[in-house]
This record gives sequence, C-alpha cells and structure tokens, in this order.
Amino acid sequence: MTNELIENATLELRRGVIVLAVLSQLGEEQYGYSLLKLLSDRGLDVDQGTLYPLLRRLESQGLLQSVWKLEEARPRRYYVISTEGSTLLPRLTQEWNTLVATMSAMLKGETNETD
Amino acid sequence: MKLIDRYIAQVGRYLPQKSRTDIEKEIRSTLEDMLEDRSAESGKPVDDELVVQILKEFGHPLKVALSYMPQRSLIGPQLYPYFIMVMKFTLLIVLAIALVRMSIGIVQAGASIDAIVHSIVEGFLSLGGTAISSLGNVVLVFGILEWALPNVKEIPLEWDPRSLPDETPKPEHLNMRDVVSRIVFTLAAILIFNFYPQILGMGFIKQGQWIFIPLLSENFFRYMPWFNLLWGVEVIHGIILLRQGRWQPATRWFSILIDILEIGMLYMIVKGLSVVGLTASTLQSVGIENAASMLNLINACVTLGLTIAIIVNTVQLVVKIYRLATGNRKLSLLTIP
Repeated sequence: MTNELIENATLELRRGVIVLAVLSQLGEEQYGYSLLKLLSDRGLDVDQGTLYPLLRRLESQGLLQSVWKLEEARPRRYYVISTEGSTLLPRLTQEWNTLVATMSAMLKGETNETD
Repeated sequence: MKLIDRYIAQVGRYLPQKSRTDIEKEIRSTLEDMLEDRSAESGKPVDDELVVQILKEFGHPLKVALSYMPQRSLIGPQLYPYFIMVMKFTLLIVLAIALVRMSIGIVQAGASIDAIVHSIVEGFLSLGGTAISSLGNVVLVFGILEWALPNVKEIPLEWDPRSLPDETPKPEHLNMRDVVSRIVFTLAAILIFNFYPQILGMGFIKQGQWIFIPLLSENFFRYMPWFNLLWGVEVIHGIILLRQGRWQPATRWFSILIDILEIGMLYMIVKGLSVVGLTASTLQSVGIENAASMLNLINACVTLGLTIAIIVNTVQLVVKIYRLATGNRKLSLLTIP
C-alpha cells in the first residue's frame, strides 16, 4: 500500500471531525492562528489550507461569528461560536459519542474475528 | 515590494473580487502571526529566509486561493452523460463527412498520386479543424444549458420516491436525452447555417484544382430569417422543458405551434424556387452526362422528400392536437413530444 493512499485515507477520516473540533474550541474568541495552535496543542494538527476556508464557511452558515480587532498594530479576525453553533454543538457531540461507541464495537468485533 | 506583499497579491489574482480584500487581509494577518511565533521560538529576528520558509509552508498561491473557492464545473453531473453522447455523435458525423469528402476527392483525383496525397492531407487538415470547431461548439452549448438548468438549491428537499419514472413512459414524462439532443443540434444548425454556410457543399480536386459545389442555392438562404426564428423558438421551448422537467399543457401547445411553423416553412420551400444549389453546368463539370435530366431528378427528389416531411409532420400534429383536446393518453403515438 502506498504512503499517498494511507495519507489520503487518514486525511479523509480526520476531515469529518474538524468541524466538531473547531466548534468545541470556539467557546472563547480565537483568531485563526491561535486556533490552529490550540488544536495542535490538543493533538489535532489541521492544515491551514483547510482551517481558514472552513472558518469562513462555518461563518457563512451562521455557526460562527467573527470580528476584526486591532491588536499590536495588527488587525486580527476573531472567531467565536454563534447561538446556532452552540445549539448544534451538543447534537454533534452526541453523534460523535455514538459513532465512537459504534466504531469501537465494530473494530473490536473485526479484531476478534481476525484473531 | 516585500515578499509577503507579492505572495498575497499573487493569491489575490485567483480569488473572486467579492471576497478578495477580506481574504487577503486574513492571510496577511496569519502570515504575520506565524512569523512572530517562529521568530520568538528560534530567538532570531524575522529575515528573508524565515519569510521564504513560512510562505513555502503556507502553500503555493494557487493552492491557497483554490482552498477558498468552491469546486466549479462547466458541465455538471446532470448533463454529463448527454454531453458525452452528443460529443461522440458529433465526432462520428464529422468523421463520416470527412471520409465521404476525402473519398470523393480521391476518386476525382484519378491516377495522379500527387492529387491523391493532396486530397488525403487536405481531408485530414479539414477534419482536424472541423472536429475542434464542432466539439468546441458542443461544449459551448452544454455550458449554456448547464447555466439554464435548475441548480442544486432548487431541487426540492421533500420528494416522493413514487414519483420516480417507471419503465412505462407516461405522457408527461420528459425524455431528457431527446430534449438535450434537439437543443444541441438546433443550436448547431443555427451556427452552421448562419456562420459557416461555406461548409454545406461538396469539395473535390479536378485537374489539380480544388472545386467546391454548394448544395444549397441562394433561394434557400432567403428563408434564413424564418429558419432562425423557428430554431430560436425551438431552443427556448427546449430550455423551458428542461427547467420544468416534465411536459405540461402549455409546453405541449407551444410544441404544436412549432410544428405549425415548421409545416408552414416546408410548404413555403416546396412552393418556392428550388433550394438546390447544383446546376447543370456544375454537374457537367464533374463528368455527369445528361446533366439537365439529372438536375430535374435531384429537384424532384428534394420536392418529394419535403412533401413527405410535410405529410409526416401534419399527421403528428393532428395526433398531438387530438391527444390534448381529448385527454386520450393511450394513443400509440404518445411518445411524440
């Protein structure tokens, strides 16, 4: 199996959880780079080419709000979860927990069968 | 100009104007954050080397710009199967015409090797040009159709699986393939008859000279404004059908109106002067004996063909009107649009 195939499959797998990760970390205002670092510090490395367009998309869907602030003579765009985003977050979290439980059971079964 | 400015300007070139300034501002802010962070980590001031490293890490300007834009396609999945079908068909027609022309050229060239080679080379060159132009026109037409079709947002969220078409065609069921093909070929006819009338004929080499005989006379081209009107109405009708996705009484009456116009046009041509561009002298020049009789025969065949077309169209018209007026949906000619 080629490395490219493995990387693509892993990327595809992680892509689905980024929305949940971002929403979960934006209870407090973060600008793009600080969010990137925060996610990385918590173990989820996200490509910036994925994160920044995603933030704009979530904002256009009404799940995030943003505001430009001038700090240290530099403008920064701060994102925070919106009311709609806050409503969605617990549902997504519940879905995630169910998914993890289902997949764990499924993969365990797979392992047992293999054994 | 600083390297970061050049980079952001390059990304901006690919971005839509509406969101360009905002995205550029955000990228600049992020790049400055990254530079500050890396500089603090390494304990070194920001220099060109670090800027280059950060920009490389951020990605090629085109890749960055693309990540901000939704995927777009000139021809979407809805029309793609029909697009491929029409492309293949067009290519086949172009190839067939080219082969016929080439064969005529070779036959006319006689035993002269030079003339045969010239015919073949000429034929291939002509085939290449015609194929590119025809296929380009097909792409253009499908691009317009894609724009005219309802987009995904217009597809209703609520739908009933029972509304899926079954194998038995129903009167209101729209055969997308027929409609798309009709639009494409009508537009092709508009293009060819208005902009490339010179290709409507036969070309061959005689005694080393390229001779071209137009198949249609000037009389035919006097009808062009009417043909354009008829074809334009047909295209509009097809686009309306595609947008509505099914036959409705209004579109059926519209179709009947088009049929009446078509029959009227055919009748005018039959009753008018000959539309055949061949003359006795051109027939003689290609070595046909009794050219006058042959010309009379060709004219008679054309008139017969047009008369048959009038009769067939009239029968179809009567069936359509009967069907609409009586609501009879069990006629055998139901598949006639």
